Amino acid sequence: METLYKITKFQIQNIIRSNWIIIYTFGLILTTSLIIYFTNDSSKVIVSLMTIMFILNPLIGILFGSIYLYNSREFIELVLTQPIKRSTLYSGLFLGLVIPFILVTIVGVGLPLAASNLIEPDLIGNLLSTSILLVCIFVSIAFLITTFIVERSAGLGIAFIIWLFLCWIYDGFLLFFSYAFQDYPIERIILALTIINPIDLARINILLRFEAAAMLGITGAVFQDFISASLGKVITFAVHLIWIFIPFSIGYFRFKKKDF
Amino acid sequence: MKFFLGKMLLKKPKKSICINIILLLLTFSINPLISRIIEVDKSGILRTIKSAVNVARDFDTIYIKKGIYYEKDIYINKPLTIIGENGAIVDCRSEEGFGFLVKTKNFIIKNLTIKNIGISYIQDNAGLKFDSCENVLIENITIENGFFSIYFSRSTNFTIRNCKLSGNKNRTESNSGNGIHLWYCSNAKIENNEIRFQRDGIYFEFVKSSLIQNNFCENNLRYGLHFMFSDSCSYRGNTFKHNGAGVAVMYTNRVYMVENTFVDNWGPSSYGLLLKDIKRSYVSKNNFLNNTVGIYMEGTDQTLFEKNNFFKNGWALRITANCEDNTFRYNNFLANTFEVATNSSQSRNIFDRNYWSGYSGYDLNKDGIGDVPYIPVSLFTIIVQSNNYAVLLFRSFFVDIFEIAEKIFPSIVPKYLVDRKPSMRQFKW
Amino acid sequence: MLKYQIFGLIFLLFLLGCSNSNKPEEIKYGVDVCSFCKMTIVDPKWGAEIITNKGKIYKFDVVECMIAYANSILKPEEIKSYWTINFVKPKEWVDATKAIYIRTLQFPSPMGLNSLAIENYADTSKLNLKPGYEILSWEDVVKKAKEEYLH
Repeated sequence: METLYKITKFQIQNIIRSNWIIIYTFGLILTTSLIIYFTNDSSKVIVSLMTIMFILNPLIGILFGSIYLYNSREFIELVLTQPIKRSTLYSGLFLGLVIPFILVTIVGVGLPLAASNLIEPDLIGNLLSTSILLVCIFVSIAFLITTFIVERSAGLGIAFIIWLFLCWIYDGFLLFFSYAFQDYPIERIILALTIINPIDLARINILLRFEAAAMLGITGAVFQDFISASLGKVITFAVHLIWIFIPFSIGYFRFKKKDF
Repeated sequence: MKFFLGKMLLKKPKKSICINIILLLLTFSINPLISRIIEVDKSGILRTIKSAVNVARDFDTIYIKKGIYYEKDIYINKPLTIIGENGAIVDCRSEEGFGFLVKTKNFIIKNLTIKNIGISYIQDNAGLKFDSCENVLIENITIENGFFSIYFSRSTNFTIRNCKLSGNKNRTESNSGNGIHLWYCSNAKIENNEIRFQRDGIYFEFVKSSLIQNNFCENNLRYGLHFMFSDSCSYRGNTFKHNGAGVAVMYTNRVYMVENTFVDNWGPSSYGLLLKDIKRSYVSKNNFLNNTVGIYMEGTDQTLFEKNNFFKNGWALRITANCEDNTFRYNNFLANTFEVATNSSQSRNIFDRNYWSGYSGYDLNKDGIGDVPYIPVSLFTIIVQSNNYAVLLFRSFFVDIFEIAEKIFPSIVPKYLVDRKPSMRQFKW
Repeated sequence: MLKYQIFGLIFLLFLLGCSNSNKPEEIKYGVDVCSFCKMTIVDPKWGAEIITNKGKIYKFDVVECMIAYANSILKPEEIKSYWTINFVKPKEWVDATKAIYIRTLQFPSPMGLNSLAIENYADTSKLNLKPGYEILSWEDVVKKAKEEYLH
């Protein structure tokens, strides 16, 4: 535990010391404040913020996470010469990366939102927690990538492609699928396919909390059940946790056996 | 002589009284137009409404004194007037059956509360049920915990006015009835009623030439107003608020819909106004506020929509391909998530001089009309209109990028659905 | 390899979605909308359903809407089975092509064809039918619905 704490702390200090994260935080604060200042309509603010928090934040998470891990390769090799368990090191690295991101999200988006008093605290909490979960997911995917792919440029390319797939290509596929199989009973499949993608799930989870619950209802009764039931919230949380856990643990098993 | 005279003077009025009484009795028995008043009183001679109805002759008035009367199935087959004192309540104790069943001409019922009407799955139990009636007036009736509240079939010339009707809050659609239910009726006038927690607030099926005016329908489980196969009817000045699915007007010609307010009909598959198979109708000066869909149109032809306000709806208009020759002019479209959705492939409806809050054109010659035509359809609405599932991609990055691409290289959004003269200023209606 | 697995998974999901092949689905009253007339289905005595060859289920508030849909929007050859609710046992489904229909003004239907469906003649005892009713077969109902409802 002691070593885990030390590694985490060292990592966090290391990240905060680099100007990069500070710039990103200020950038977020500035954008959020500007959005609030210029739109001044709660639902429009949420919609704009959703793009930042569910699209941009994961991109930064996965890219920065990969870069950071490639950069700390020497540090990892050094630590591994010490009598420290690999699991401790791996967890420490993960926490050291995730915690700054959580802080950045809370400070960069949460603070301006809370200060503006435009959106109810409940929804702010929902937005922040969903966004934090998403960042964790993408950071853990970054861990998965870096443990498998040694070459830096290839790893970054794959990271970018994974992000692009989840936030963009996947939706295109979904749209194509729903067109192609319109005449079949695909309600449940579409629902399942939407839930599987963490970005789509996050977006829908937030949309349901404010404007679009009724509008999404035109897809039919199956979806309405999902909307109305508190089960929806539980599923959202569970799916996101699974998305964090699976890449993290696969990466971990690889990391344990890896020859540095 | 003086004595005699005095006696005469004394006698004369007596005699006239006698004659008068005889005359009066005669008129009573002969002429039914002079009516009696029969009192029903918990502590009087006639203690039940049923007994009073039995005693009453045509055109009598039954006056119900204050008190709770535990009665049901009161059957009326002669012209009567029934008036309740303040606090006169008929309680049907939620037992199988109806409150009043009326089959007569010339019937008036006023100032009465009817409570707890029993649910039935086979029969349409109602507080006041009328069959084959003519010339009926219903005024100041309160119905609480009703199944069906007021039910007319095969009737004509009647007025329902100032009534407060409500069902049971805790029921579901399948075990509740309609507030005012008309079936095969004509010349009805329904005004100033408040209807809550019923299945449909007001239900019209096969009704002709009737007027629905200044009613308030709120929190009904399905529709505030449900209107089918009812030609030449009009409704104006009504408010339909927070009903399960809004208002449905279907399979009807020549409907006149003016100055109504449709607000907060905000549920999945709900509409401010659902128009299906409507022809030659007029929709004007209505307010559509906060509905999932302002107006949903299917098979609607030759109808004029003017001077309406659409404000903060999910979709202001959803128009399916089989709607033709409709005109939309002088309407305000403000802050709707989507303005118009259609899956029509041809220009079949005209948009002219509407105000669109989404319009960002300019007006160089200052005539109040934008110089650039406005297309109120977005790419995403077209996709959703032809494929409901696509709505799951609402506000997604994919759709955002797609929309931007469409703006730069327009190819999918139809050019024909266009307002060539969009107004620069909001109309005040 | 992974690619095949993903396709396999999708295919499996697809099968799962299509699995309930020829059984009508319960109507959620007050939630489900009639595919033809777009009205919310509320009356548990009158519901109807079509199952297509591809396994898609369409729900209707009453049998005349089902017939209208089957003959205007779908093609009859696309349809695998027709179902209707038994009027006297509102939870039970009856094969609509084999049901007995009773047409009477005593029980007005949501869209005005007034033809209620029952499974067998024994069910009529629960209806207290007054004289003036007509007994129809599926073919008669289809004909009447086409004449009177689907102009």
